[in-house]
Amino acid sequence: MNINKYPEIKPGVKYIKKIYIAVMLFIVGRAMQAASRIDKTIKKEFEDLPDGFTFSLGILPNGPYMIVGKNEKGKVKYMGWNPAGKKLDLKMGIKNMEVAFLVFSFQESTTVAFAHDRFIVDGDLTNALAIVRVLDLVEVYLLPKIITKLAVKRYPKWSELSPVRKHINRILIYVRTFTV
Amino acid sequence: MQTPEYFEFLNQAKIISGKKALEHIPIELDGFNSRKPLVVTSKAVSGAKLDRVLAKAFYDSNTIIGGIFDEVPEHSSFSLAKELSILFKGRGCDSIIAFGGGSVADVAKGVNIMVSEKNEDLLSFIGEGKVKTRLKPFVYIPVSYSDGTEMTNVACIDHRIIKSDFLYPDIIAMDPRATKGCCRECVVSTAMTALTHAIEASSVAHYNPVSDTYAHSAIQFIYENLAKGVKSLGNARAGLALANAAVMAGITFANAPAGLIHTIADALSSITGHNRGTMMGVLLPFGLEYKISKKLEIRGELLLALAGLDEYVKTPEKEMAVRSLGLIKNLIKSLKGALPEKLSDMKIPEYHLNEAAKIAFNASGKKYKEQVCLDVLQHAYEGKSFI
Repeated sequence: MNINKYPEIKPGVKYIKKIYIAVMLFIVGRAMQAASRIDKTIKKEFEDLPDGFTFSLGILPNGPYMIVGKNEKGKVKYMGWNPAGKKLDLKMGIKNMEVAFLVFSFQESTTVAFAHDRFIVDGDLTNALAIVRVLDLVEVYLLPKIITKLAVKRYPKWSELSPVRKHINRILIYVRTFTV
Repeated sequence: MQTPEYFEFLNQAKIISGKKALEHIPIELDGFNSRKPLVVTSKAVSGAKLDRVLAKAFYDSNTIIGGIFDEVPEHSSFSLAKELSILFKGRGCDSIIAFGGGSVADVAKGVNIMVSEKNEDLLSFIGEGKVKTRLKPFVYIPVSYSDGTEMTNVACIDHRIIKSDFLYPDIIAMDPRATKGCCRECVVSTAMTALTHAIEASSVAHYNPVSDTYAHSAIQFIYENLAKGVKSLGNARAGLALANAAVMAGITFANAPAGLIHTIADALSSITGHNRGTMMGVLLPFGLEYKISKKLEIRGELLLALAGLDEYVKTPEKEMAVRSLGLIKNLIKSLKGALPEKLSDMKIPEYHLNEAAKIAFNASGKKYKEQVCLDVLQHAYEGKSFI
């Protein structure tokens, strides 16, 4: 058999999707930092996590990633995209780029993706679920309702988050995400 | 629910089914510490450009495809398995992906035995339990046509059977892009094979709760999706449901003895060369009628799988088997000619029936009497009811 007739195929890179997801992760990471100072629910979720807690969310096996952590003073900080050399308490990985694109283009909500076993979680599952709840709320602030409804498990009712509060917080989170 | 006195069931495969299932293969292979699979497939798959879809599914991973061999013919052979083992070793591969129907999976299993056992004499593995080593990771990707054995512990190469529990796939990835129907005949044949295997596996005398779960889910999927899948070949949801049914029925079939209809269809198909799945579809109602006429047990749960809970609780226990048979006949009618009604419509010479009955009698280990097989065949030939 002439084996050269059947060449090896090295995996390519889906650059456009990779860049889109990297940008989304950057915005979500920065927005988590901003929202933890503005929204009470998010603040409370982070307060329940231990001080010094750091987590990564990324696409397996080669990234991109986002790293978010709490410092000793309890302040939440976006810590960049490179997990190398960082002590991570929780690693959340989406199994591949296509699935990550489904999640970040809101075709599949984070909770549904979790239920479909699209994530690999290395760390405490209760902390991972707290992060998923935070991600849902961050999406509520970042995106218009029509899109967010596709991306979250349940959109907050008026009694839980009044539209006035939501819009004020949204403006503050956007300003802090891109400035501070 | 009755508690079984004793049962065994083995399914080695991790089943991944649904949107973007192909993209999950690299990370699953990574779990087996495998980074270089050889892809074995056929011209039907590469003709539909599905090999490119698979190659793209490996983007952004660390997995290199060792090569895509797309020249597996309809019948597998030892010589082809030997050639592929050269390609496997030459490329330094460490796992195998079979993408296609029966012959593709059979050849891939043969290659896997040769490279894992480090023995090029595949003939020495013919029979049961001759494979003694855990094989290299084996991924099976179903398409819309299946002979019902791809996901089992059997490889049929050059009409010789190699059977070993090591032959079960490790991963079965069903993606709607791959399982869309290619032609009406393929869809019907695959579904009828699965339906027959599932019904026969759930009708064995010894109650096996795990096997029943697989079988009943397969029956339900086929009953709800076959007509849709045949009417609209591009229906991705129906295609995926039928592929799931084929996989579940195949696994349950591997855990149960071969039934009467499977045995007869296999025998007649080997003589006439007709598609075995189509044969099973024609023979299925007659085989069930025979069982009802002889008061052999057909479990009431078959009706539960076919018609759902409401119908099941409404039907008296004695009528359940006849009602189930009626539903299966309606299902076949709804295919509107995609399946012949009787064997004579397939232009099979009548003199083949005696020979087929004899082969079926011997193949079943004399479990099914020759006269019984012949009775079923003759009724199916003439389209004459037993009841």
